Amino acid sequence: MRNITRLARLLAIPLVLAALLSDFLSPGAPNLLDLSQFYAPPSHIHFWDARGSFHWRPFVYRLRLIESQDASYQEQNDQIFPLEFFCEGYRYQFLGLIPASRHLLGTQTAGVFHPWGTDELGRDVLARTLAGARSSMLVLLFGIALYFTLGLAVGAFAGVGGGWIDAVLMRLSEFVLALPALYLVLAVRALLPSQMPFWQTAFLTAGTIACVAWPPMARGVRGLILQIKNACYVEAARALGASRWHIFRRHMLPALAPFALAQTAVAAPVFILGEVILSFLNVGFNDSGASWGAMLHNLMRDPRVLTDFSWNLAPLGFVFATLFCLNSFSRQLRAKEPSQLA
Amino acid sequence: MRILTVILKRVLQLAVLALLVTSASFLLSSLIPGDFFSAQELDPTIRRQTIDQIRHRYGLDQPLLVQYGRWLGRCVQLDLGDSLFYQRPVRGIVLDALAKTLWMGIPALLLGMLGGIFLGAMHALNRNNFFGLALDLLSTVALALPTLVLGLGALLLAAHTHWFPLGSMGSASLQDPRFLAWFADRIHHLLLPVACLTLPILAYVERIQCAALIDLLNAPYVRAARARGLAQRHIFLHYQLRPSLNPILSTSGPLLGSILSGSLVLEVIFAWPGLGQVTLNALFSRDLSLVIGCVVGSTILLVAGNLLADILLLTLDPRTRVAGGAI
Repeated sequence: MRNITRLARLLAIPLVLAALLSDFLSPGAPNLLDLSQFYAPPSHIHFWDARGSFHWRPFVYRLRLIESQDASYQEQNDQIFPLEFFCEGYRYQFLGLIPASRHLLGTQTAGVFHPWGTDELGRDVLARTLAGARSSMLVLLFGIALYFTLGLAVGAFAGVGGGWIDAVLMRLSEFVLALPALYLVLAVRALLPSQMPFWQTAFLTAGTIACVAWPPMARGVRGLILQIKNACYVEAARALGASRWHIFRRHMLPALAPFALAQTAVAAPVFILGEVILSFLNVGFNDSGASWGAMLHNLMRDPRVLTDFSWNLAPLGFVFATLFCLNSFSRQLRAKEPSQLA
Repeated sequence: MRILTVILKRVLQLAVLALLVTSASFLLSSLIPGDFFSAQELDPTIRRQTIDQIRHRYGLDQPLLVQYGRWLGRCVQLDLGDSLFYQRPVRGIVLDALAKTLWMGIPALLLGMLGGIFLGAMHALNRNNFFGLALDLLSTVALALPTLVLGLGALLLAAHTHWFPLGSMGSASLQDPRFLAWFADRIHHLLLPVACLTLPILAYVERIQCAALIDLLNAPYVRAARARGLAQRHIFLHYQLRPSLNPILSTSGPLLGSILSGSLVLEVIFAWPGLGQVTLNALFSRDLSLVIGCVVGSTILLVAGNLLADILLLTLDPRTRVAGGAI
């Protein structure tokens, strides 16, 4: 069990790096179309050219489509494209702040080197997968922020408010818990416009999932508040004339924080999985805002992807790895929870 | 007596849930601009008056409250209205789709519960040897595998080995008129989706069952029974296994909800025309009465599952039959 956690921690580092440095790591732009290169296989890296002479710098050949029916390609070995580290490429913002145009590995000419092949519109799979990591990370960050705020707020209102507020909020949470989660998410999603800009999609997808996921957090927070409510120090504060808000902020929040943070971490995988499923069902990110789910949705249209163009399944591995990491962290936290609460 | 109370409680719960869900759906749908015929407005060959006439015929030009009142009135007579997309009564569509979802869901639930209870018991009895360790590892992996990854992985397997068909409920080209051939074909199509749906349930049930049984392995009354010289087999079956079923039966209600969610994804992957697919289509085509019908269908399924779990719990665990007993 400890080894699994260690493995998850090791795996999380490259995943976070992939999300943060996605533009730097990708050899080409994620949305660059090249219809002459659809379903192109991953580039072969060569050291010896067609005449048999050895090159110290590895290189790739450009691919030429020979049969568009089954997308078979042939390498054109008349011109070599040497691979370069820190190669000049498309412009982007490094870490979203610094304008840059260098990429870890690439060729001088854009659209030749596809380390993981291309999809049905000739877009680079590696670049799209990395951009998908960024989208997922964004949804995760928005999601846990919303979950934390919403759950804490509802729980606090119910616990501190008491009376009918408590009754209404708790019946509402039971109602949400009683229904199948995915159907509920779809129903909430149906309220939103089907096409949205990238940032709006990320925020609203996270919001949609948070709308359905909040009850466990709110119920936990409420339960804790009901315990603390009768503690002597709260009673003393009340006797001294402190307002409810002051008591909540000074005396209850510090006691709630460990539970709320742990519960948020426990819910984190839900947001990644939710985003992937929504995009897969074509109601999350659309095709242009690269996301793992949207990439997987594209390949549902063409069963040949499963057998002949299987490099398009790369996002599947990333989804699994990310969920594995988050699940093992959340299990670790769940094991710790009782001692943290004490 | 207790069983009657439980049934009554669940039926009441169903009524309240259905009322809440349907009124919420109606309210939410009023917030979205446009309706089923909005797409036709863009078509220059259809006159505006024609669309207005159609709207009037289906009552879509009425205020929301009137629409809801009419819908409720018909709902009491078990009529859920007509689907605008399929041009058929919603009740028939939903029942059809529900049957198809259950065709996949019930085998998965049965296999998952029975297999999970068996494996959980094996795990609890062998928790210190290699077998237990292997089960622990397997269930950890199975719990981490989301249905989406599992389903696409299974599809990959089917595409490469040709052992299984690539989705859908049965072969359209089946020529053999015999029932057995039809049934075998259905089962062949069923294997992969059921396997994908079963695995997470299996792992979940195994976990809970194992933990519940470990708590009872050295309970005082078990030691007392052993001291009285009862057979190990008798102790295990009657003193340990039976009471240990309580946690898993009381959590199996929500499990049905997770099956519904899981089967939605699997239905899309395996082109299975069940409730999930119908709901998605209804959402995309803005077919309001069908969306609500689907929601009602899934709510009924959930409540029925909870009711079944309650009844099982009452029959299997006598502790719950006492007034005020935990249920």
